[in-house]
Formats: sequence, C-alpha cells, structure tokens
Amino acid sequence: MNLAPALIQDASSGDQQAFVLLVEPLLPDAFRLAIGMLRSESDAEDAVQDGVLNAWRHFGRFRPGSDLRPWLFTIVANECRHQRRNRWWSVIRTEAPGELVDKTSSSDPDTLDLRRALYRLPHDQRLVVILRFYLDLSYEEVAQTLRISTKAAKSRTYRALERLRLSPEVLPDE
Amino acid sequence: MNETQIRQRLRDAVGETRVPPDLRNRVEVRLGSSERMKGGSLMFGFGRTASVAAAVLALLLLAAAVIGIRAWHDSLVNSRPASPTVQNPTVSQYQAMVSHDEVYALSKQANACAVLGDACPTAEPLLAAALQKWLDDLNGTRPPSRFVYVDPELRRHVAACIRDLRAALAAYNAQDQKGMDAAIGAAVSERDTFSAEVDAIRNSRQASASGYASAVRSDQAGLTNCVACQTLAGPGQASCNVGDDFCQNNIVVAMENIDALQGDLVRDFAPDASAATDARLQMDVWTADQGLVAMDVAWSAHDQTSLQTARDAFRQAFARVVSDLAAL
Repeated sequence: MNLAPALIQDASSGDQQAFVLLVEPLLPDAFRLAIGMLRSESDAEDAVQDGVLNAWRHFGRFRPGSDLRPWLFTIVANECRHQRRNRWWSVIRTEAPGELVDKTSSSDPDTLDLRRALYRLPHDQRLVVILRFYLDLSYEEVAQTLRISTKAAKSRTYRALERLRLSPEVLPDE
Repeated sequence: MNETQIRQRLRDAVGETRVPPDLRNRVEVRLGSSERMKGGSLMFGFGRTASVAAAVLALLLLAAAVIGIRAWHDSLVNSRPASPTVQNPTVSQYQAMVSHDEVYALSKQANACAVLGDACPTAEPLLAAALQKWLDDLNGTRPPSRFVYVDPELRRHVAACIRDLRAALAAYNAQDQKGMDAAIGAAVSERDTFSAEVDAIRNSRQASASGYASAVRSDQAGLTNCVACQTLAGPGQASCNVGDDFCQNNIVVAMENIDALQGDLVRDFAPDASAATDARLQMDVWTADQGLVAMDVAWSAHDQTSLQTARDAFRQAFARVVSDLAAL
C-alpha cells in the first residue's frame, strides 16, 4: 500500500509527523550528498537539518505527484552552497584541516589528487559528480535536482569528468 | 574509463560515509524547536498579559540585536582599504587587495541573496556595483610579475559577471524568465571562475624545487588526459565548426582545463631557478587561453573564418605549452 499520497496530504495540512515519515528514508542519502559536497560532518549535518527545515517551511510548494527525492536534494544542495559560503565568510577560507572528513585511508597519490581536484571543482560541477557517481542517481534525477534538461546534465557531467581527468570513453549515457 | 571505473575511483576519493544513527531524531528536534518558536509554546505557564509583554520585550531585544549585528557587519564589510591602495603593490599587498575586494563583493550577494534565485533581481544592482568597484581597483593597479597573466583573466571574468548580472536584471524587467535563468547561470559560472582565480592568488606560494617538479608532472598528465585539448590541438584535425555543439563543448572543456593549469601555476609559483622558463610557460598558457576565448566568441558569432584562425593560434600556443612543460 502506497502511503505517500496520504502522507503528502497530511504534511501539506501541517502534520509534522507525516512530513518526517516522508523525508526519513531520504535522510541517509541527503547526508551523503552533503558530505560529498562539504567534507565536514558537522557542516553536512547542519546542511541536512537546515535543508529539511526549509523543506518543511516550503512544503506547500511541493507538487503532489512529483518526486520528493530530487526536490529535497535541490534544497539540501542549496544549503550546502550556503554553508560553504558561510564557512568561507566566517573563517575567510582558512579551513582547519582537522575539521575535514578524510574517511579514505588511501595513500594512493592518484586517489589523493582526485580528491583534491574534486573539492576544487565549482559547486555545480561537483554536485553533478556527487549525485551521479556517489549517490547513483539517474541522469533524469540529476537533471530534476539541478532543474536543467537531461542533456544539460549529461554535458555538465562530461565537463566535470574532464576537469577531474577521468575522461569517459564516450559521453555518459544510460 | 567506463562509468563503473569512474564510480569506484570517486568513491575511493570521497571515502565511505557513516550516517549519524540519531540523524532522524536530531532533525525532529530541530523541526520541533522551530515549531515551538513559531507557536510560542515557550510562554507556557505565564499569564496572557505577561506573555504578551514578554513577547514584546523579546521582539525589542531581537530588533536591537539585529541592528547591532547589522551595524557591526556593515562596519566590517565597509572597512575597505582606500583603494587602489598601491599602484605597484607587493605580492602580499596584491593578495590582500584581491581577497578583500572579493569578500566585499560577495558580501553584497550574501546580504541580500545567499543563493542566486527568485529574490535576486533587487540585489543585482548592488552586487554589480560592488563588482564594478573591484574592477576599478584592478584597473588602477599594476599586478606583481607573479600575477601578470592571471590578473587580466580575473578582470575579464569580473567584467563578464557584471555584464551577466545586468542582463539578468534586464530580463527580469522584461519578465523574461528564461532569459533571466540563462543570465544568472552565466553570472554564477563567472563567479565560480573568478573565485577559483582568487583562491589561487590568495594561496600563491613559491614552491620548492621538488614540489614544483611534482606539480609540473601533474600538469603534463592533465594536458595529456584532456581529450578536448588534444582534439582541438592535435594532429588529427578533427573538425570544429560553428553550429556544432560538440565543437563548443570541446572549447569549453579545454578552456576549463587551461584555466585549471593557469591556477596551478599561480598557486605553486616556480622557484627562482625555474623562474624564466615558468614565465614563458605562463605566457604560452595565457596565449592558449586567449585562443580558446577567441574560438568561443567566433563560434557564438557563427564566424567560421575567425574560428579557424583562433584555432590555429590555440594549436600553436598549446604546442608551446607542452614543449615548455617538457623542458621544466
């Protein structure tokens, strides 16, 4: 039985518990998205919490029948951009290395180079890479999250991979 | 490299993520606290009059705090050095000026519009004016030799961002949502580019001999792996014509790679022993970039002759870049 329509209706009417039930399954991926974008666990958690709060406040704008996942990811990704700027604003980009996530114990120089290159990508390029290859979203979902066409999502992914020196054999396709 | 290999490499690079087990609870608490603030249930236990008085007092305190913080923030943001402070600045003076101007310009964006979107049209004149001030500072300053090639690029991207913001405002006034989206997208792209340039300038350090050699090797590998660069500059003479999206895609990707190389050269500045060769390399990288910019302009103007001329210029400059890197 699909509970989503009823939950969406309840959440739209102001039922916070219904809203939590709707977003709960999406929280792990939202957190992974934020970690991929920000590298800092505390910043990532802030981004997810702020994103969910914003989603709740603006849930009236969610169109029943559309997919909740890209809708929430759009908001969380915007929070990540905001968090990054806030952090940048408050510390003038003197990132303390200790605050950053370094979950990979790899000492492979290529992997380290790739990680550095990833975090030097512009926000929108890093976002397509994280959505497509870290969260395994389809190009259609990537496009929905970025509110661009599927063709543009593929093109942006291709450019980001070029920038990361991970040249695909062919233009990525489904 | 296929998609599975790319996915694996990126997962290795980002690492595995441990989702906090109590994330859901924390989110609920956050939502709940927001609701309590909204609903005023923190007033529980007070009489109605006392609650109203407390609410008024809280509002007054909040307003005073907001005004105080705003004044403090504005004093920080507006505490600009008299600019341009020095016509011939040292490296550190130039770094400080560029850094400060970027903070000032982006603070105008952050104040009124944290993420460019629907609310931004009112903020755009303010942001464009701040960027124009930055551009005036750059135009009134002669950059130190280390930044002589990145400086004109920075000016170009700041100027392009101003142009895009004005286009966005014009589109907004014309109620042209599609035009506004395109202009804002272009402005964001320019902002990302000049932010990367500022980042390279701010973090510019003279590298050790071994560090510089390592950076050069990495740059060589980068150019070898830049399929778009090789396609445009290589001996294969693959066609690149106006109206061909693949051609434009190659131009944009090559430009991004050349910009990244330029940033690397600024960030890890050559040791004295390699300074002369590095200066030549930087000049050739800049010339290659100009070739790509000219190609982009010609492609957009549907001017095939100019596109071919610019491509020849890029091809020659790119060959010199490869040769310079090999000589280092």
